[in-house]
Amino acid sequence: MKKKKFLKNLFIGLVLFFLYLPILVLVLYSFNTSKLNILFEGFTLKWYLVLLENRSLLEALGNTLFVAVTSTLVSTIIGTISAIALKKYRFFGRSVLNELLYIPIVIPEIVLGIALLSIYTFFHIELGLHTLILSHIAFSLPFVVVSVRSVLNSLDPHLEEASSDLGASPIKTFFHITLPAVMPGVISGALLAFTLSLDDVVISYFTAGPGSNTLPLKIYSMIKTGITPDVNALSSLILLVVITILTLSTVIKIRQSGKEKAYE
Amino acid sequence: MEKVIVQIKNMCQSYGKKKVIDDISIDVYEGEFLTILGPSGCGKTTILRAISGLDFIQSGKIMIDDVDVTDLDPTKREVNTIFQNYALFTTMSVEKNINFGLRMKRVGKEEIKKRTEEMLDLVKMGEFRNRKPRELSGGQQQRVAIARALINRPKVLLLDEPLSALDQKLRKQMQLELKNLQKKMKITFIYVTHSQDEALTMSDRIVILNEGKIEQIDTPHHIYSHPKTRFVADFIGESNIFDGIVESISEGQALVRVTDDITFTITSRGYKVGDKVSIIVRPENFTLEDEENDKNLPLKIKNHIFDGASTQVIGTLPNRQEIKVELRKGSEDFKNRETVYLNYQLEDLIILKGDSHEAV
Repeated sequence: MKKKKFLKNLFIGLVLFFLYLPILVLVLYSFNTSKLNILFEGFTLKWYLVLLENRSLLEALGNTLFVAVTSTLVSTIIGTISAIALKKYRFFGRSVLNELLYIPIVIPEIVLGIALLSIYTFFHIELGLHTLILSHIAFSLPFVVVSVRSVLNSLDPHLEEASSDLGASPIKTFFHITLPAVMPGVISGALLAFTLSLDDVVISYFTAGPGSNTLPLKIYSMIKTGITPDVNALSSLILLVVITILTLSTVIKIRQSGKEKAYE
Repeated sequence: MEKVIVQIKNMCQSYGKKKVIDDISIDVYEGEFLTILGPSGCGKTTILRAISGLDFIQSGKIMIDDVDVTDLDPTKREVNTIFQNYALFTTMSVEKNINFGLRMKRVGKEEIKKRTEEMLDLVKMGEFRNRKPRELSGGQQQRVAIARALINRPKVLLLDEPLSALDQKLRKQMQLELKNLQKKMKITFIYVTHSQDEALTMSDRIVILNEGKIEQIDTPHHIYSHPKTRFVADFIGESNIFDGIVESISEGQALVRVTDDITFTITSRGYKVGDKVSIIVRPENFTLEDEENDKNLPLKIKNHIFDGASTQVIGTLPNRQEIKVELRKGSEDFKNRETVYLNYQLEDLIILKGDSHEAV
């Protein structure tokens, strides 16, 4: 029994080690005194200070966040409404539209990137932040729709009827009943859209213009000249934010399910 | 019981090509407990949805309290519905669920508070006011659904199989609670169910619906003792049904031949020789006798079922038809006999005229 347990733990340990080693190394090198990511020479915080002075890197970060927040907001709103409409109304082409939604999810990003670039060229739209945002909305929209739809499908179809039976107008029903009920799907759709936008390289590479460099593009272009440790510092900071958010959401989830169990 | 509160006139409804409701008219009186009873798929929920306005009807007219509501939105009709699965708002607490209707109608804060307390008291859910629906038992959810509807003081409460999600014991208890509530609040209930047991215990009147048509509207007693159609006789209570032809008539009595060996003597009400009739006998209306005579019928006993209050005897006639007999408490149970003789009182027979399936 003891041996079995040991083997199990060893296996889990190895998997976690394999998954998190690269990340750990990244964080470690952000505190490295050497400029090269090869040897660890000593502990320092100077790269975090250098980062604060690296204008172009911070600008790229700003662009990335702006694009991510804007495209997430827009795609979440459009996606949520689309999912509800697709579920609720019967109209011509509904089933075709339902299937078409999966195409942007499954086609290679590079195809979508080229397609978007050619359409911007066709309409003589200059590349910039706006084209970047439009493109990000385009590829994250289906993810939001799919995410909201999965919640909608498990919803009691009588909820909205009950609401109108109790005297709520369609608009009130939407804001008081439907939206709160699909909120988990909306939030997970938005998180998905946000993360997709945050680290997108391929589509952004095609649709970004001068002055709209994003962080992933910036880092990607730095490979040629060598990545400086302040990028490590920035990545570590992003990691810290992500881990904090994840921990918070997990804690909230555990607390809620604990509360539910107490009544069962 | 005179005032008509809901009037359905010549309602028709079809989904695609299928006619679900076929020219139905019902008057519902103020304060009564009316049950719409029928097998699943007979269109009973469709009627309820037409009254609440969740579906608009294709033809006909619906009046609520003398107002034509046929084209009115559900939000503007003074009726409320209790759904089969309650459809409680999962994201809201018990209290918020209950006063949802008032909040939507922008009733004053004080008024909302007062009426919410009244309802919480009425359904005894005060201590659970802050819980979410998923933290409640089935019976408690049911009570919240009732309070959420009644707080709006509807003229009519519509209930769509509200007890079907509960277990047997709770269902019995909720039947009583619902009935008491209805008496106390003096609100008209229109109750849809497929359970004859629920319909018979709770209703003032029952509408029997079959394939989109009304078979009979009557009090529970009358429906049981005087079913108007073969469907009603078969659907409500247990029945032994015999199809036969009038063979001869003499001295106000008609002899009906079912098979070569089996005949019934019935009171003649203008029958002619050759008329087709169905004879319906409730299990408790047969008596068992020891000795054969020229009227009674031989029954080969197959089973005795004792259920505490009564004994059921199941047997077969010479034509192999299976017969159910319910023996009254205290009567001889013929336990050791293989064959006994079935007898009946003329006035206990229910006679339906054959082809029309209409009672005579």
